[in-house]
Amino acid sequence: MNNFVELNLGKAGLEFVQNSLNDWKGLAKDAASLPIQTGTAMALVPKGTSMERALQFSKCNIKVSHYEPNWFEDRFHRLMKEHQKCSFIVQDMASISTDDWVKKSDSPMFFHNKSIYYYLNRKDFRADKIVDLLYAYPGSHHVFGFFLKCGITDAIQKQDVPSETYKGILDNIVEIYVSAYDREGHVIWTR
Amino acid sequence: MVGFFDLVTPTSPDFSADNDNALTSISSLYSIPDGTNPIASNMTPGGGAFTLGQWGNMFQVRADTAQNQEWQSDDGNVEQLNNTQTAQMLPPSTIFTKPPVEVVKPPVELFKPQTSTVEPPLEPPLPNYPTDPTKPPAPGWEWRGGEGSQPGDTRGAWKSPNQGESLHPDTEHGPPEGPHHDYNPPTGSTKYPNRNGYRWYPNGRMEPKSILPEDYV
Repeated sequence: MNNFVELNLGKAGLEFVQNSLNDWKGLAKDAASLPIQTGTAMALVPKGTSMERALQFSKCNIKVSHYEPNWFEDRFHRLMKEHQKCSFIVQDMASISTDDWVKKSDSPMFFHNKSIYYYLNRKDFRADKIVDLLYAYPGSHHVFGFFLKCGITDAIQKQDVPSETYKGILDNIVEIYVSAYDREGHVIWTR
Repeated sequence: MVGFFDLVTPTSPDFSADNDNALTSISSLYSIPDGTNPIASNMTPGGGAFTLGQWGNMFQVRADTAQNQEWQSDDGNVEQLNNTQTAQMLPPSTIFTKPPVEVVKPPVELFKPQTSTVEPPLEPPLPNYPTDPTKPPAPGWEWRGGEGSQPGDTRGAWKSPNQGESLHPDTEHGPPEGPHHDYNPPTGSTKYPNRNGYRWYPNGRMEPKSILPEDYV
């Protein structure tokens, strides 16, 4: 952690989160209706990174967050103290539930309107699993992660969740992780 | 490594040690350290077997007594100086019949056949680099993108439904990377182990994006 700092990205960061969410479908699109502008947006960046550079969200080689997998774990554990129940889900922006490979996969996931959401419950909040989820699963250029103040039951594994459940997920979003820096890092919005 | 003559100083020009009485002969001819003090200023107690310096392959002083002494040189090499009372010289002391003028060292494999440590270039996921991002890179690939996304734009990717891999056109990417496609391999791919994906350049080069820590690859 010594080489990285959490940089508050201010209004420009909030705009980036809002626009990114608006551009997509599924939970990302629906989360755009949350009060994004009243939250905060930050990124984990190397010490000495200028604000100007940190706001170049599509530019790669900023060498960011995944070099600090323990930072994610620490952050999640801090949130766990605030919320008795919590979980983390990541939306797959490219696959749909009817894709052949999905049938073969045994990753924890659920579906809504054909969109795929991978999930981790608090018992699995380990650095390797978090980073794995944020970087490895979604076969797309864009990644959206959602930290929820509610748990997810394994009963929904590979199930299409009903609208009420989906709405519950939306209401319980505490943080949103938006891929940035050419998918080498994230901008994190906190409600 | 401390050389032999740094350790043992000849006291006589006459070298006459024989096999059976090597210790006596050597003792009488050389001032051999008693094993209780460092034999060279750059040695400190350590562990391991003692090999006498640069001629270590030619002879060794060996002993199995509790009085063995070990010294470690500053450069980390561990050398053990044995109690001279039980030492044996190997090979035969005929080595010492005259001060060595020319020593033929045992062959050392300095020029082993070189095997390249450079990994061969990673093979692209498809035979041809996609020159038109608005068209599927291969039969069966489908465009998956954001709200209102059109094939080839920056908000989507070509997806192979069978494998779960995807190709995202990043044709406007500025220097130093320049135009490329982002290739996201299927989960668990052994051919493309960097799960953070690769950049596939028009010249066919595949380059891993920032590599995840080893534990997570």
